Amino acid sequence: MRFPFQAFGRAAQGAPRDVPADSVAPRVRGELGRSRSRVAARVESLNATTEREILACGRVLSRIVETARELIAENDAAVAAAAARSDESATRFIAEMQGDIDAQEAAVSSVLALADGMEEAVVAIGSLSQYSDILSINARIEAARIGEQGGGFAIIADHTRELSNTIRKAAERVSVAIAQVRAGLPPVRERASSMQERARAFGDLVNEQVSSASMRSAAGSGGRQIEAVMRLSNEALSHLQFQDSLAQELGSINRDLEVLAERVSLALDGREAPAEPVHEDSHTAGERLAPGKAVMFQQEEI
Amino acid sequence: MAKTVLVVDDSSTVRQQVALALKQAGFDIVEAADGEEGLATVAANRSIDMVVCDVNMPVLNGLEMVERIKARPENKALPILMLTTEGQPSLIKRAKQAGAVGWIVKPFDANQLVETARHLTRR
Repeated sequence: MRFPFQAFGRAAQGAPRDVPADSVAPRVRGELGRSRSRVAARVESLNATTEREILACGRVLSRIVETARELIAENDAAVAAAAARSDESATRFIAEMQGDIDAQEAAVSSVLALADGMEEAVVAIGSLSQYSDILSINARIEAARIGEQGGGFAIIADHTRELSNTIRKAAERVSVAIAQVRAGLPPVRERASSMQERARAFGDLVNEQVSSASMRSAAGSGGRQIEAVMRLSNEALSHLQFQDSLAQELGSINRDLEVLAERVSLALDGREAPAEPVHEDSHTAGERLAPGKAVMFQQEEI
Repeated sequence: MAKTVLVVDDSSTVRQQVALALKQAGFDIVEAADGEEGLATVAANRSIDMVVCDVNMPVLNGLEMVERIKARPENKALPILMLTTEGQPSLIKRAKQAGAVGWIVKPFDANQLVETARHLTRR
């Protein structure tokens, strides 16, 4: 197919107007109109496709950020659960220690009760010693009253006295032992009580440390992860912004085609095309603000 | 409470990208596709803390929208940030005179936009 602009080209270059304008002009206009429509349709299609794809990318990006947030939330929940388990462990440890201390306390109490019982036994043994003394005195009196025939009573009196002394000494030793046991028990009780306090304080400390450590861990790791995801998604956002500029460029192409068609039409009619419009800022002082730059009017430059 | 930002742009991709950047930073987003819709949204929604606005839009362009929003006394303190591909000094000057607080030329840096939004909504 002969490209219709060739005829127009010759005319535009000042070639003799030997081409029958009446037959060429409608063909040129028609061809130009169809070309313009095709280009416009392709431009529109390209713009729509790009827009659709970019929106899809944006939705994916948004989903990535949401997923990252969910993952971090799950991670935080797992850390919190671990902290709760640690709390439970500390509580169980303290309860077990409390049980041991209570058992120790019970043992001390039963030893004291036993000591009380032994003291009663010592008193009874003391009475037995006194009774033996009386027996010994009586035996000696009987021995003296009967005379030489009472020698057997004298022997009984001696043995009874020895028995009394033995009983008394045994009672004294038991008594001393009981006193020693009694003296030794209060420090044991104090230590048990002190251990109880320390166990409680230790438990509180463990709980506090576990909680704060887990919170620090969760907050720290979660915060860092979400910051990283946001940084990456913001970078991706910058890369996705070309669609707006592309749409404007495609719009400019469409407008340029319109201008071209209008000028060709004017040329075919043998009329002068108007001068190219000049952008106002090409005459004004000052530089354009570059892409990506920003100014704040009321304060400092960003 | 989260601050609310109105994003006015005829490009759905730009609205999405601005919304994504600001939502990540904890802002609530309301969108409008042209100046007229933006104007109506500001009039109907008193909880808007800031406006991010394009310049070249159909129906009513961004600069006219800013002028009409700022003409109402109740909107004097509402910060309006222009976000556009335009960088001509005459347009920037007009936006400043209309009452906009700043001008960012696309493509925007998401972190910069978030910081600016935080700064402007702190007032």
